[in-house]
Amino acid sequence: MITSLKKFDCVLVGSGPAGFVFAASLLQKDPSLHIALIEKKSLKAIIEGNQKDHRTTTLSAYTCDILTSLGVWKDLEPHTVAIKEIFVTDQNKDSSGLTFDEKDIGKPFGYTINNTILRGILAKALKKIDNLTIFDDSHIDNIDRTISNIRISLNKKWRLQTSLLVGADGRFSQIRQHFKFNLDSKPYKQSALVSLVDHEKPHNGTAFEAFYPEGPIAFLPYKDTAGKESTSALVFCGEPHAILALQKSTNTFVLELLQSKVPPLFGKVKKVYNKQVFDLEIGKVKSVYQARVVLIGDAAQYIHPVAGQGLNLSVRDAKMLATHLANMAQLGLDLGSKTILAAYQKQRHIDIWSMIGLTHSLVRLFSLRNPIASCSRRMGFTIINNLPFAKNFLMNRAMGYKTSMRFPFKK
Amino acid sequence: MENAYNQDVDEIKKFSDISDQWWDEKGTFKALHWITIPRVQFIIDHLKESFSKKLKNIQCLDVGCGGGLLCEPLSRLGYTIKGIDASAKAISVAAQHATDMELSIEYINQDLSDFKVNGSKVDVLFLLELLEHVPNPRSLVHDALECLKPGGLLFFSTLNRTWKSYVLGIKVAENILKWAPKGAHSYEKFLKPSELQGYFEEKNFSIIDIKGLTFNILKGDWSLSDDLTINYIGVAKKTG
Ligand SMILES: Cc1cc2nc3c(=O)[nH]c(=O)nc-3n(C[C@H](O)[C@H](O)[C@H](O)COP(=O)(O)OP(=O)(O)OC[C@H]3O[C@@H](n4cnc5c(N)ncnc54)[C@H](O)[C@@H]3O)c2cc1C
Repeated sequence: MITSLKKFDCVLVGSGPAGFVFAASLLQKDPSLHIALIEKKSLKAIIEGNQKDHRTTTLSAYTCDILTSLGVWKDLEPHTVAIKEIFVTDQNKDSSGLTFDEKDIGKPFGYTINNTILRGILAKALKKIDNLTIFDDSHIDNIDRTISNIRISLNKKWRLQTSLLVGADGRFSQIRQHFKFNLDSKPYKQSALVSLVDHEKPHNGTAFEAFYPEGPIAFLPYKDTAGKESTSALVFCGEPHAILALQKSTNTFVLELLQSKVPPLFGKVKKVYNKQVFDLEIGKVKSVYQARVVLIGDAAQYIHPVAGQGLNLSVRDAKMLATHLANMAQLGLDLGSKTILAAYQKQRHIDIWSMIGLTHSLVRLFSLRNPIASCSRRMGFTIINNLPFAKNFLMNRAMGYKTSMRFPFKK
Repeated sequence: MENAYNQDVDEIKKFSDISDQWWDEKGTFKALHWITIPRVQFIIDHLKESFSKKLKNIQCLDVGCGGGLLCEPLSRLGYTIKGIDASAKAISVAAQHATDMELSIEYINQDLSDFKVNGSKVDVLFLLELLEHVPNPRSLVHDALECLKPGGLLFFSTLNRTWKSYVLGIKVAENILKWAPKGAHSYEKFLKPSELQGYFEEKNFSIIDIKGLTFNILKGDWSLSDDLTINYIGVAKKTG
């Protein structure tokens, strides 16, 4: 039934970090816009934390600035741990490690937070946004595009009409598939085991990452609900069968293995729990837009978690698209027109490519087993450690501030 | 070939023949779509500054409206705008597109000289990318000024007559980059800002702001600048 069609300036699919930042930023800049959000899960369930997402996410300093400007940082902060020090080694050889200290830059590198808590707080904030019409627990069953609009049928009924559809529906994006966006993707032949680890000594805000040919292993400082600081979040990447075996093996085995991989500063590792496995893949759409549709966040590109940057990159997409669209709306321009969306893509080009290049080359470089590569990595560490300029550059990147370099990326 | 109006029949036919492409953002008129962003930015800034009445009470007229690339954003913002064009085909494309976009815009196949006689006076008049396509730009400017209410604004944009606009605006844009239809421009018809200022002064008008439209090769987009040597957009108002 076309009669019950509701009209919107923009319809957003997905209430993840990208969806939240997009909706909140756009309506903050232009409260007169009418925006609808479609989420397949129930927001109530997300708020209550009924999801089984045991990941811990690193929020870069720039992401925190954005969340502050949107008024949610005060709710998030009590659940976060500031990363004060980052300790990076090649195959856990301490002598060749690289240390980044917050004293070098005067503020933390970023903050870690449990993903379920993060999603819950963002969902709660979404519900409070005026002018945002939410259709959660909803299933898109049909989409129809004409030259002037897109119509969306939800739960077997045509309901929404919009001049622009924004797909922020994650790595397996339905919007991307529906419109047959051209996606380049490549599995990493690596999986990640994610879990929590209790250890003897407090982490004191130290993040640790060791690079092995099979994949990186990271320890992120974690704060549990009781506020205790001797738990870290583990991301253990390796060959898929090995990771599956690890997920199934006895705790004694996993603990012994971990003990041999983490530096002494964490003391004895005592307990491993909340294990989950993720397949790792890199993917990027050739163009993030078509007429009346644009993709942001993981729907547009997803990267290896090696540098903990996927969410941060998604949030930057969302922020920039929202700012751009608010400016264009001020001029009365058609938000879904290719000209407007092409201008957005141009603005994002360098940041996206450099993040893809950076994470991809990190994974590649450290998976090379030959002694020359290993030696040059170690030399690289030593050089970076002694060159304040290079270190600052890397730190700025990790914090999400510097986005002006471009790295090559070969398929 | 000229007709009784201030029109070039061949030019009108040329544009009529390709009018189905007005809204193809990657087609013949793609350059016009790109420059829409800075152009509308310039226009809106001035409209906001000059008028304080309700938007729908601000009457605008777009002369040579083509497919309605300017009428649509202004109408979407709430201004009352009418588009006239010498090409009947362009008018029907514009009207159809506005219907598709659910905008109500009045489009008429009419020459400015007829509008001057029959139409009511307007607050804002646009002569965008038009002066270089008519036989007598001076009389077009004078006709336009007569259609304005007291305090009204006249916006114009065109190509400057410099070696740079010749090379970039005709040779490169039409033949190499295919940003504009081949034969769309002829160099002798390009106007210098000083010549336009002369036309305005004869009627006690003056250019109050003028900006260049420049393509930034590194960023790959168009923006407003102080470089008037190629494309420029300006606004004139009655002096005193
Ligand atoms: C092991 C691992 C560790 C990671 N660690 C980090 C880290 O430390 N730091 C970091 O920055 N990033 C990290 N990432 C990446 C990060 O999780 C993602 O980049 C981020 O979640 C992307 O956000 P998003 O909003 O684009 O998509 P998502 O978070 O995937 O959100 C998509 C939303 O859309 C909804 N949805 C999906 N399909 C539909 C549909 N058809 N209809 C309606 N709704 C739909 C989903 O329910 C969900 O709410 C990690 C990833 C992995 C796999």
